[in-house]
Amino acid sequence: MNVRRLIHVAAVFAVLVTALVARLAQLQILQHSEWVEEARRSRTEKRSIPYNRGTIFDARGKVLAEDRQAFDLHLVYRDFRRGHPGRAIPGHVSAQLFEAYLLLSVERRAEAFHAADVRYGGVEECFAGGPLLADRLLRVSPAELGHLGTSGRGDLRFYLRGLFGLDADALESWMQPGAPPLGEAFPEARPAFLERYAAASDALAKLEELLAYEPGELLARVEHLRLLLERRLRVRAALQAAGTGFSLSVSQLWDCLDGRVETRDGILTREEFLARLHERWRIAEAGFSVDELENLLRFGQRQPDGDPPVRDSLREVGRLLQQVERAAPKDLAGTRRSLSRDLHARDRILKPEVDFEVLDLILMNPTAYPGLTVVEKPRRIYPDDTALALVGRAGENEDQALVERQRAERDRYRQLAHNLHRTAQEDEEYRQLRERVRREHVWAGEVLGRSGVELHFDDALRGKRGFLDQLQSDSDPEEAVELDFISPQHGRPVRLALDTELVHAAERAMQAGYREAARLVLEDPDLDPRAIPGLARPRAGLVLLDLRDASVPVLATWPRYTDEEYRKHYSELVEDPERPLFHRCLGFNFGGPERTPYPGSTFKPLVAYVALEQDQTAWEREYLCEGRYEGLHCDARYGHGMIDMHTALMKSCNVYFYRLGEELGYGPVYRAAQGLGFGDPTGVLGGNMEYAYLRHPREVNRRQLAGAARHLSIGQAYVAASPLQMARFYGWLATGRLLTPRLALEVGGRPTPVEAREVALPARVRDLLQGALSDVVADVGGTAHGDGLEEFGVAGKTGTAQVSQSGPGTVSNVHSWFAGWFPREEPRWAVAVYCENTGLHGGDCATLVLAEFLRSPEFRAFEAPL
Amino acid sequence: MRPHQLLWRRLKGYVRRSDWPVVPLAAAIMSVGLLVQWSVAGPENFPTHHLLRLGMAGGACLVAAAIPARWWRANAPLFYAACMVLLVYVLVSGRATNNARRWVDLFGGFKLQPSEFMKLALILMLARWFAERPRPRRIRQLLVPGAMAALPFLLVLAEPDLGTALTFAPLFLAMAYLAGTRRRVLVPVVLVPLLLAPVGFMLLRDYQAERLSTWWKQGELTDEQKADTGYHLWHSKMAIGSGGALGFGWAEGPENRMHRLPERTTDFVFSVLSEELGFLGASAFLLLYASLAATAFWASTRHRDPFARFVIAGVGVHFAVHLTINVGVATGLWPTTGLPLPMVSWGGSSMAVSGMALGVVLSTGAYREPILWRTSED
Repeated sequence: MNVRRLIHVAAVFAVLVTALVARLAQLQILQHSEWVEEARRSRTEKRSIPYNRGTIFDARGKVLAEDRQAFDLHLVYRDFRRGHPGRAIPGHVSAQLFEAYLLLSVERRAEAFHAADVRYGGVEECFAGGPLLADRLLRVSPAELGHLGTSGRGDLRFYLRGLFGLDADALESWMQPGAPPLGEAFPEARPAFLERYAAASDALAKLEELLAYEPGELLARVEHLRLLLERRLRVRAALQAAGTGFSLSVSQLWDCLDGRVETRDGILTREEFLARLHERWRIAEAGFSVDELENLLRFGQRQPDGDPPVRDSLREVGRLLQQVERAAPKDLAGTRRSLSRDLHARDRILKPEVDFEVLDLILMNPTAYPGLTVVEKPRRIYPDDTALALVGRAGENEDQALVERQRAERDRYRQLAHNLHRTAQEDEEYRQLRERVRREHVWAGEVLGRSGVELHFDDALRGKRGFLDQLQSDSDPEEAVELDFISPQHGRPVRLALDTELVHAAERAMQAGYREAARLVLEDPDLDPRAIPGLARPRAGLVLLDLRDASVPVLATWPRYTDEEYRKHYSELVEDPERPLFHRCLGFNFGGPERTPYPGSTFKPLVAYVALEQDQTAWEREYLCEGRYEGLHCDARYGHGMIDMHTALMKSCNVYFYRLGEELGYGPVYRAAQGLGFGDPTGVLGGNMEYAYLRHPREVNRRQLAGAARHLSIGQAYVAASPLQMARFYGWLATGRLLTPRLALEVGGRPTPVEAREVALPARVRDLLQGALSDVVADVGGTAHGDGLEEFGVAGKTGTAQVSQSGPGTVSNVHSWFAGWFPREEPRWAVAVYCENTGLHGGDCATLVLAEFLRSPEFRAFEAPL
Repeated sequence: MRPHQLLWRRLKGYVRRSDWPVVPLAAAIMSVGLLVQWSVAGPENFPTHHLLRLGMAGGACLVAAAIPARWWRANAPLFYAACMVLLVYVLVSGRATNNARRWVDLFGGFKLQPSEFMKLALILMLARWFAERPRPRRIRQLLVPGAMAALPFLLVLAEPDLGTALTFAPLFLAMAYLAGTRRRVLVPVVLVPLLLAPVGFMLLRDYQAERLSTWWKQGELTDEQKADTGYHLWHSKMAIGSGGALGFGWAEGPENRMHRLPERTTDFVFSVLSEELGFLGASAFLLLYASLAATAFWASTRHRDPFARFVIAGVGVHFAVHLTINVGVATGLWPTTGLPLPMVSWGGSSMAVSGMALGVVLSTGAYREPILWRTSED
């Protein structure tokens, strides 16, 4: 042997050892801090702390929506069977019995995965027969464990330790061949088990009592969740296996099942894929058709509703997997362990909204209830039904675009989090992203505003999650060291201008006004008695707008719905011909904005304003009303004769306005209406809940412009407006300011700004119009005279809007309107009342409703201090 | 001279002639191993099992050292054949654990891992082969010794135990090189397997291929990989890296204490050591271990008998290869494969073989004269 060659060999090893030392230096000296950070991160338990969504109050401080503390009982099956690894908590006896039985009862561990039939009982059955099953386990000798691999033996050891309180080393030694049965090797095991079993039974009984469950029900529910997880696991395994043979991911596979997918080898169609898979897995041997195969693969896509019973579907997928195991075992290799690690660790709600006592019991006895946790999750409560449509709803996020937007940020955050060598700039980016992702991103199950105030003020109402990062302690596994804590930032409150008591008064006024109208119909032979059935069921909206600060204390709509009806009978509400979901003040229904009525004669003052602004002598100009004009009718059958603007407004002469509008032309009236906000939402709640319509001259046939001008001048066909819009318009007539209605007075304790637009209203024009509109109520010849509005100094205009056809369940195609303001000299309130399908003129119904409202003690009390 | 005085003199002579420095070095390594195993078991649980194994290694060492070198030389083929039989037996009806058949069950619950004994048998066999023949000049002269290494390599690979199988290759190459094989003969022996590596990659089982790709991309592991195929590597590197320069101190390493580091009594025992003793302690241990191999290399040059030289150098190579692979795996230099660190890891067969190997070193070292020749000359 040559010494020089020995030196060469030694030198090679010397180089290798030097490389090892250098590698150690790299890891332990150069990258030390990164690895410390990584180790810390991997041992860190991260918990988020939910925030409470902001409360929504009415003007008087009455709660309309709030988050109430609620607790859900959660199950993590992995912890339930294995215990909490960081805290030395053993798993639950029931699951350990079941899992140990599962390991021993099947010929091979793999078969438990896709056993065609569910041969074993569940967790609850294993626990019920606990002592018997334990005796069976105690009779097990190591010779019976030959089918178990290392992981299976490790699992069994784990469960035996938990069940019988045995030492790990002693069990490892016992597992050598030739050892006696477990019970003989460890005589102390049986009493230890019985003690544990009794303790577990007591603990379960206590919890079941608090949950108001029948004896055994808790474990039955655990078993149900476990079966669901198992089914999901099998379906996922089948999907993964199906994709494996074609190098498709699960999402690609679904694309393929939906039609086709592009692969590296070209386009793969659904039919081709299914046929090839059918052949690859030799599916015919298992008796499945191609359609059945597709159904099983699509199982994961289907909604849980209408699911077959879990055990049946479990069995079906099991049969499929057995066939895959026979035909293409490689497709399934290593699937179960990785999937079960993932799926069994998922949090599932065992029972929502449990009592505080349950929380107390579980917190005080953590070792007795492994895998069961009580999680605080605030519940959104709507204690007052008055303004549900306006308050809106909050629900789980359904905005996929938002999810996609956040995904990019989250991916970047994860990338940075796993990067051990961040630059200072990347570190800063990481911190900012961490704040956003952990505190502000919308998480699954998080509640977001979906409509109404909840949606419009979502930014304010949403808070920021807090979090608590704990490091599992090195020295004491039961203790955790707090690393980082940020308390949650609760959502800010929103105080609405809405006064629920006033709204109730308005609703009562609607009932009373309709009754009064019905009485008048009965008494007055001139009124159409066919209106009476419709008057029995009021369908109306009433808006009250404060002209000083643009607040809207009343946005009353009838009929409306209760929270319970909304939650439990939504589809009935949608189909109800009375349309309780339709907000009659805004023009909003369940699906979004919905057409509001034409404003009818309440629109006429706008035409008068256009005429006066062009030529103030128009005030004195007279037109002849003969009861009809160009095929159109006036309310006065035989006409008003020669009539001027004042009288035309007071008596609501259509022919006057047909002629005036024709003279003015469609364009000027359109532009003025547009300038006064018609055709656009008023902006309350961002305008998302309002309907507004004003037809653009370009959309009108040139040859029909004159006719269009006539219709527009009496507020028909070419314009539609909500009562809120009309109230705003009459507010402008009273003050010269076009307000943006304020539904929220304060957000987070700060007053919302008052927004108004000045639209020129020359003083003389204003005086003339205000005078005429005052006389509508005050003058004996006015259309609203004698309905009780005089005493409140109301000025305004009645309206009778017609629709070409009546909606479902309606009795008439005529709506009754009144819009105005009061007091007429010092305008404080603008008001609009809309009564749907009454078959009566505005002065025969809407005015009566308004008068009832103004007489109500609630309104008097509301106005008195001011 | 009284018998005990005679025994003492003989013993002194034996020690003087033998390569005794390997004994204190091995004892030091074993002591460190005991401390690490104790730390893994927890300060309150002294690892009695490990101490027993150390005792067994000591006993094996004494027995092997007491057996004359000529016996080892004469019976090397027998030892080798016995190990081969056991390797075949293991494949046919050995105890299957972790989807592999590696152990033969003995009486009283003991079990034997023939592949470990095969390492020593191969050293003895190759030493005998090369000692008795002129330096190989042609590749066909390597065919028989090559087959001696290849057969157990294939049998162990079939168990499957890739880590152990891989130790036979460098052992054979090193001994063939020491035997004076021409470089141009040896080059194809090294290159051909390397060129065939892609084919081998295709033959790998799924989990092995995945493990390999995890190792290749160890800097960019996903959370799933960290929890699955990269779990061993990730936690081992985390334990070593977070240990820093001075370590957490004995029995204070969090990855060890919190049972997060897998296989920490066997394949990843070095990670525990690095976590708790830090860079200084781990480097010192590496040097200590390397010095054992270096001492063996040095000792082999002291002897004139070629068999003794090959055996002692072979044992040195054996320890060096194990150190290099085991620590390389723990630090992520090589792909993850299971191989114990002799004298430190838990495992009776490995420990017994280490003791025996040291005993054989002592025995062959003490082999003063070429006894057979002297006998023939007499």
